[in-house]
Amino acid sequence: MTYLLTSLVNGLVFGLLLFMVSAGLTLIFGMMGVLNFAHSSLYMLGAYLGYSIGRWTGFWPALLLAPLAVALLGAFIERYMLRRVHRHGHAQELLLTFGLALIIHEAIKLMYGPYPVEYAIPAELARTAFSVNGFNVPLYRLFIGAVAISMFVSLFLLMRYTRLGLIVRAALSQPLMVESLGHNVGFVFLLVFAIGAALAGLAGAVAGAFYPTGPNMAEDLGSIVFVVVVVGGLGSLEGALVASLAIGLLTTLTVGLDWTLAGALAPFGLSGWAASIGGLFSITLSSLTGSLPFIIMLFVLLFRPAGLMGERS
Amino acid sequence: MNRYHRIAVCLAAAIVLLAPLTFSDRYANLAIRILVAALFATAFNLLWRQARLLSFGHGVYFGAGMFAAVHLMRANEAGLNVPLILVPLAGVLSGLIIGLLCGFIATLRSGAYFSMITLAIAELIYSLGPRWQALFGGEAGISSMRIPSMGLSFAALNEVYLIVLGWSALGFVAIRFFAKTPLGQIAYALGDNERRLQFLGYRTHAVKVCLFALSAAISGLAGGLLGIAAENVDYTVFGPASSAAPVIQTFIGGADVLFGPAFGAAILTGFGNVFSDVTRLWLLYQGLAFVVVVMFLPAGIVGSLLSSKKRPLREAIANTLAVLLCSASLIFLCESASILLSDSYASLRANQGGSWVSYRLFNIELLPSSPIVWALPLIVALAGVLVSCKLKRQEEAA
Amino acid sequence: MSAISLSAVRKRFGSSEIIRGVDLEVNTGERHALIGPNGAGKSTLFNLISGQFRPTSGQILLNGQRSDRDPPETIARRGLARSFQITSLFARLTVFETVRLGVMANQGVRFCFWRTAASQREVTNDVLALLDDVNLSHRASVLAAELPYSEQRALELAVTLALRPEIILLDEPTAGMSVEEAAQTVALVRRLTAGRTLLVVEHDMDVVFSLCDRISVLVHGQIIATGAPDEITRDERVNEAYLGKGLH
Repeated sequence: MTYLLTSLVNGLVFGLLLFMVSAGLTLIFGMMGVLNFAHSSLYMLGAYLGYSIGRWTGFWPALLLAPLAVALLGAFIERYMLRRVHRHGHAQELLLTFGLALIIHEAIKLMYGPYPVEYAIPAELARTAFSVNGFNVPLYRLFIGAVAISMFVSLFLLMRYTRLGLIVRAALSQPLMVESLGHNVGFVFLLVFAIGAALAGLAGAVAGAFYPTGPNMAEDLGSIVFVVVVVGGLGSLEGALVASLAIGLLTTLTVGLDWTLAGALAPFGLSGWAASIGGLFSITLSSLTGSLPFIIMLFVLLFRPAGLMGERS
Repeated sequence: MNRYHRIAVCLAAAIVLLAPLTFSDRYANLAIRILVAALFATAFNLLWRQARLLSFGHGVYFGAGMFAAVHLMRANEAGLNVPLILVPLAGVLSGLIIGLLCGFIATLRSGAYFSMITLAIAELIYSLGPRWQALFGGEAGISSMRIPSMGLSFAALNEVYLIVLGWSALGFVAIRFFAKTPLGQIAYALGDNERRLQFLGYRTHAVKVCLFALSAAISGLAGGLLGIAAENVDYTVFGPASSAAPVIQTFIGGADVLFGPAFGAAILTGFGNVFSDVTRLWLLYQGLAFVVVVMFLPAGIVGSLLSSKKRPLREAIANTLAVLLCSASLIFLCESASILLSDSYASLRANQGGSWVSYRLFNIELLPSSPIVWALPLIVALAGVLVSCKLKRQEEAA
Repeated sequence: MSAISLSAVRKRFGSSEIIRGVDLEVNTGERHALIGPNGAGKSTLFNLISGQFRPTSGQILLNGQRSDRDPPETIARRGLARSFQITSLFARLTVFETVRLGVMANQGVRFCFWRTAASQREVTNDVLALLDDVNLSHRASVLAAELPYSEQRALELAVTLALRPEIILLDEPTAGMSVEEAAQTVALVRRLTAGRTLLVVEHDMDVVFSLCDRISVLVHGQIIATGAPDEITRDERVNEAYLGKGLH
């Protein structure tokens, strides 16, 4: 029971973190048709910048400045790199973001070395929020969740109720039309990319203090973020939220479960036979945790490529 | 190219390709890796050049071939007597079968979705790798030894090189021939206008599956060849670096040119072998070069060379010089940064009471606090960029 | 028997219904024109017949066989070929290679990977004959993308006819052509489609009158009249909706 409860809390928080990163990615793809391979690198950059700036200004100002810096980088990338490559086609854009991911990754290793850095939670937040049957739930986890939720709410309000949001949503489906109506679609693209980058950077700055901030950050999270965005539906914020929570919960819950296919056959009295065969039958669910997101993604791509709530196909 | 040119080129190619037969193990190994990378990149390019499909997970088929070859070699050790020259066939077959399966799934969608499926498949296999002990040998991988056959002991790598050369040649010929067959022609048209092909009555999904299977089979061949040379393999062959390599090499070399991917693979593998001993920033330089090529040389190095024949020699030299100088200064800056940010330098500074101690780079003593050390490379780099831009603008105006 | 038969076909995109209940019969061997103002849904109708879209309701029969659920490849194999209003060719192929694709499809040479395409004599001969028919023999090795407009349309026609289809759909074959070019194209079409069923979308009334046996008028997703050319010109509803009052 306590396992279930703590897994639920941890899973929800992880899911919300995933959402922070994938929100930007899905917006960028939905609007510009560009799958930003560099998105998780921007997340990693946010964490490292949060660490560096934090050493200079303290935790809280860094939480504002790091995402801003990442946003500026995002704006630069969109304006001077993506736009230039755009006329050669979608594939070249994909390749560009692919290369950028490599560069950011290696540049970070250059600046900070190949080992994790000591990005720590500030003293004010380093307490336990509450205990459940002896298991302490750290306050910081709730902090991460709070940041993510407030981010979703403000994004939602921005998109739904402001003029800018209206233009962005329109540009999401009919960019040419919006342009001919006199809006500066180029600037909208720039803004969306920068905001997406800022979100990833914020997620990094917030999460980096809790999870290890090391050179593998981008790889670990990057592939799962792709899965979230595909399952939720490219271009759909709501879908990204649902998918992030689902995948966050699923991966956290299965981590501690040692169920095997052989065990599942126990009611039929076949578990002994299955266990003796080994191989596929004795792989535990917990060891598949890393693979589950991709299995889900494959299924979704095959049977419902628009994702849970996506529209673009 | 007239007949004499052609003969000269063939002769030069023959010399270059046959030379490694006389090399020591170390250089024969490099030659083998270059050929394998070139074959792999060309196989990858098959999907892009024909059907405009970008696969980000091709390491799976390469790895499948490598594992198949090593497993077969282990079976050889246990008594099965398949001559070494036929072992790469296991790579071809495993690549083909897995390619058919994965290709069928991946080609159900197109564009970015296709790329994502190939990525997902690769990530899936990579995550399963360390778990599947029997097949992939867990963390340590599996290893074997080459067994003598056909009168050769194959202990030295230059004998293995002969097999690699032969099979690579076969692979290249197969790809070239395929492009001229009816199926190859249809695949070529696929990249331009899939819709129209459907209206002409072609089942484009089936065509794409065949193309994917061929690409995977040749990738498996390349993997198998590396398997017999390296004699061991582990699950990291399914990792992101493996799948990224043909992408980077192909587009730096030139994706729509016949020998572009092979060229890119050759120079990057060659340079990588040399540079990764000298600097830990090799991957950064590779990434930078890749992005520069994607942005400014979309036809790749070979593609740009072939299409700019009309340019006067003087300008071409000026451009190349500008690029080289620019790269040199940037490399200087990056390497300096790398040294200055390292822990060993930090402790050196601490020992000297925090002052900016001099450091050594390319056998020169440099003082970080001196402005020349930073200003000079920056100015050179900027000058290189300006010259290059000016030349490009001149070329576009002409 | 009718070659193309549409009954109560409707097509809806989102909340707008483009085709609102179309009944159409095109007899075998007939030359039938489909005219109507812009936005009436003519291209959509073509897309429905050739399999690119599925009708929201209603059915489409080709030579008596139900075809509205089939993908374009299957319909093409049944003997229907269509050309495109906006030239839809292959940017990297030459004229020869483009027509060859059609001929290969017709001769069933699809999955052959053991011989080069150039070695297939019958294919090559067919391609050359077709190029001759449309007067593009001298342009055989030119890239399709580099052809002037009228030659691209001729190539479009050649590829469509390479399939030796029984039913041919031509979408504005003389669009953008001068009077002389249009007349040449009409003569070409008449010669090459002799004995086959032809459904043409056209705006040029001269072309329609000189080429077609019957005309159907599509306005706002519905067919308001079908008949011989002189019947149509005298029809009041057609005059009001499309031809303009007092013409002819």
